[in-house]
Amino acid sequence: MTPDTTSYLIAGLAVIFIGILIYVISLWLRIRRQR
Amino acid sequence: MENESKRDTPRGLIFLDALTALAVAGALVWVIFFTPREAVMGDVQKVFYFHVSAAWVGMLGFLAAFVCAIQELRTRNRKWDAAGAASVEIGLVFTVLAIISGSIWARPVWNTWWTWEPRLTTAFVMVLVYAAYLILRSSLEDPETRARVSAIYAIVGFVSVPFTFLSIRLFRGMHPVLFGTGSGGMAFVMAPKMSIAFFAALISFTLLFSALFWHRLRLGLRQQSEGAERASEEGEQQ
Repeated sequence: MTPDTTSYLIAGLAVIFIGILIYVISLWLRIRRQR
Repeated sequence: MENESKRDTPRGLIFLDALTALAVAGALVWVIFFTPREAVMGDVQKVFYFHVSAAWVGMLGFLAAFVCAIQELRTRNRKWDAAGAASVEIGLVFTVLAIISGSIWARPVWNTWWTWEPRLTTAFVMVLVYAAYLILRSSLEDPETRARVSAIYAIVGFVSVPFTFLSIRLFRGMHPVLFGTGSGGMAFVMAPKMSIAFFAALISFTLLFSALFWHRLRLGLRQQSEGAERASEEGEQQ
């Protein structure tokens, strides 16, 4: 029987995409400050 | 101000940003809704597509930093220093994300969040090596010294990258091997829909790296010229 691992999928994808979003925001803020 | 900032962004970069956003969204939709559920691991297997892509971008960043370091030492052109710093920063972010997402995948599959097996250990060491690169850069004030020392460090530190990549083939471990079979690790065979998802994620994250690198490089070059202006002003005052 296939185990229900959906919550781990959500957590894994959330980590990757929230991590990228945080980096993009930090880069955007640094670029704005530089201008 | 906002119009001004939009005006000085190259059209190619705006196009790349839009293309990247579409590619990443498309890959995410395909992975969630169109790839089959893997029979043994269940839904968590879908993390694999973006986990591998993040790890790929991490290593791509470190490879780019290695090339930039060689160019910096050869040409003494400080643009290569800015490009190297941009590559390491992005590479480090994506490697950390790959490690954390891998840990989340491992919990239901290996029944543990972390184990000191060869791939995980070498990846962890690689993160420490490149985190130290950023600390080293921030501790050096003179731009010339910083560029030279950072370049030498990036060349030496790059040893950790092929070592991490090959660790699943060189040592007996638990980490799955994507292409071929490793020594003791499990091989993973993909169905056609899974292959599409894999390459869609890989291409979209490569585009993401390119877009982020371009933005980060522009910031680095601006910081360099501002630093040079400040130094010449201080020189005039003295």
